[in-house]
Amino acid sequence: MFARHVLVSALVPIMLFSACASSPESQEQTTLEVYAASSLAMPFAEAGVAFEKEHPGVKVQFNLGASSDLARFVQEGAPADVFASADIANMDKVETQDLLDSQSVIFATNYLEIIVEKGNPLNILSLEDLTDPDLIFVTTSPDVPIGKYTAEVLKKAGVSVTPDSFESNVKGIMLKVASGEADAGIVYHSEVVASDGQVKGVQIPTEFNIVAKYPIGIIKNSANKNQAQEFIDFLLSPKGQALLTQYGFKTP
Amino acid sequence: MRQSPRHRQRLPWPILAIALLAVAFILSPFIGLLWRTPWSKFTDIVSEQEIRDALWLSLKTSLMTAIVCFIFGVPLAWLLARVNFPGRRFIRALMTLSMVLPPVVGGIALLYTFGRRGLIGQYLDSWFGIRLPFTTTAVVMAQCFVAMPFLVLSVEAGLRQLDTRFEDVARTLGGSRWYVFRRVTLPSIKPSLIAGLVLAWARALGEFGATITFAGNLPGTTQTMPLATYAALDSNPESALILSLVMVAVAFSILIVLRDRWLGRADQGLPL
Amino acid sequence: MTLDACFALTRGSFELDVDLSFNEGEVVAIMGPNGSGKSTFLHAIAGLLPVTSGCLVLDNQTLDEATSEVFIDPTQRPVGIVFQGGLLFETMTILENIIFGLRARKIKRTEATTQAQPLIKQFGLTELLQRQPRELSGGQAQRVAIARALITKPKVLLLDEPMSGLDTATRQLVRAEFREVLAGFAGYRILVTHDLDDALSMSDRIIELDHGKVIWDGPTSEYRGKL
Repeated sequence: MFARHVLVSALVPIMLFSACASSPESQEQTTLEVYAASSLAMPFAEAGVAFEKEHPGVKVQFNLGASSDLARFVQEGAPADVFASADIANMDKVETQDLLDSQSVIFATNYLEIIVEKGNPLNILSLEDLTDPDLIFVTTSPDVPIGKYTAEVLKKAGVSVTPDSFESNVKGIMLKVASGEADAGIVYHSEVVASDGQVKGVQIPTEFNIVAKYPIGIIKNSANKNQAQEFIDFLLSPKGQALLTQYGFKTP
Repeated sequence: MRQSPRHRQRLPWPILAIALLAVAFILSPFIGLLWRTPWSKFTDIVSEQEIRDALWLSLKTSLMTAIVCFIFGVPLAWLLARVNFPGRRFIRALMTLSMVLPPVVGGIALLYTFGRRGLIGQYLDSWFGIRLPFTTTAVVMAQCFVAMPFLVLSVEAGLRQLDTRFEDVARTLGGSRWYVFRRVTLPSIKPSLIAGLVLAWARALGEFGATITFAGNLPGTTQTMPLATYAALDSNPESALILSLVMVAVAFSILIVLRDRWLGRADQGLPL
Repeated sequence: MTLDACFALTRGSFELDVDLSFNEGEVVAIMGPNGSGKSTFLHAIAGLLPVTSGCLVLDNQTLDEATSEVFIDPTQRPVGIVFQGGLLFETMTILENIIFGLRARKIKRTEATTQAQPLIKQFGLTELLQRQPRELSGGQAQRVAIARALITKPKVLLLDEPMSGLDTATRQLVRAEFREVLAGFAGYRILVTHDLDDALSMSDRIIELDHGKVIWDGPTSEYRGKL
């Protein structure tokens, strides 16, 4: 009698938990889980729509964040189908652990740009101008691609800058500068394009700049490898590349 | 009529089973933490500069927050409990709102109010040259924003439960309002006060969302323990584990110490 | 010299309306059912409630006057009050309870303790001084409460249901003690009670209240005859 009560009362929470877990997909529609670096937000949103139009029955779902966070999620077994990173280092983390189906490919590149508040009130024109101790400069931690790239650029230019905060990802830098809380930051050129005038970009001389390579790969445990490959093919196609360049990216 | 021993021991099995599941759910992550901790590297990691900075910053700011919450929260609690002023319900609802608000939202609100271009912040900047984001002060502000309601509501509940006749007697004996408050009221609400302070302090110690959004993330200045743990997650997972363990240990030990001396009265039916 | 209570006090839907005068020589018992206004009356004299109209005058000093808005704070009134159950401050020792009134007037601890000695001896509280209120019996607590009230040498001593909560045997003992205390107190003495025996055995004059109005006022002997 009591055993039955125990069984029933144990089953209830178990059933509730399993209901909350991922529901099985219907046979008509596949959902493609794409884990992508934050800087890919806008071009991927459009790419997703275009891809879905060409491939009815496939829905593309994006999980955006710092590439380092995403790499960690994949390592911990997150149900991703595709992983698009903003640098090779984070893709390597996943590749060396044999979590990719096949070798990753570079599908886009980017370069860095200084951003300041609209109108450039502090008249920042070069990397040297960032060394002013009173200047509020923000970046991300070095694990996040933009943070590592920024450190590289500054080292190349022989310039030493003390950040006032290490944001979680590139969008955090954008927010702080756009809202006027921070005076300057360094982000991808594509972010400046996407911001549509909310911040002002200041060019970094090519000799100091870096080329950010964006690799993309299919996750080994993916149940939708065919659709994943189609998505990558789409990004590499002239249509996909045109979309990316529209948002400030460059071809690989 | 005497109860037979069997009758007294009969536990309601369904409730027991569900309760055990709940305990297991809360307990297992701690066990997981202990299981993964690299014990051999413990002392090395704990003595790293960034960890020590984060630990010191967390203790400093959370204690400061507890003090500020006490100074401002107790009068507010007194007002809410004793004075029937228009808008009292609104203020109380505001406190509850602040408690259930996602901390990041609180951080954004603080940013757009006290940031350099914020509603109040812009005047702080242009008139006084005060800039709050990216400072340790901002950390304390973020913590106070999320922690104060805990103290206010706890103390208010304690005050409400208090028999006001004690204060009446004290006044007829010649005690000024302040003297009565200090020597009669405050000692009487000690359990609620301590419980409120501990809750507020614990909430402040664990604060993440509002801190990182409003104050920023800089080791030594604004990177508290929770922020340092998150930052370490990618670069140095072992540090993240150690930091987590230190936080659990600190919180646990303080609660143990306080529980026996002050919170034990909670069993007597006093609030919290 | 008299204590004149000629006022009306409205609390919500309840109204207390009295016109009474007290002498220092008499011990007055105010009786009446619950809600008749007895406690409200004491609160008004102590200054814990302001009158709505009329006035309260003690020895020609106005304590409370509605129209001119004169109001003497309870802190400043020479009134001592003993509540039912004693209402001792639970977070303080017995000694601290007793000298509270002196400490509130910024008298130093040692000086206050010295000043309290006569009362402590009078009420036999020497052994209890370092105890906590919760350790005391009902009767002991009442004694401490009186000592505490008397230490500030008030002119008016108010007792609010002093015997309530005490068992019959203790009541007899405490009643005898109270009679002694009241006899020795040179000031206005008013006690509020719903117990007839208390009123009959401790007072010279009985006032009966009902629904906020005085329905009887006269010597205890006459009241006894009325029963």
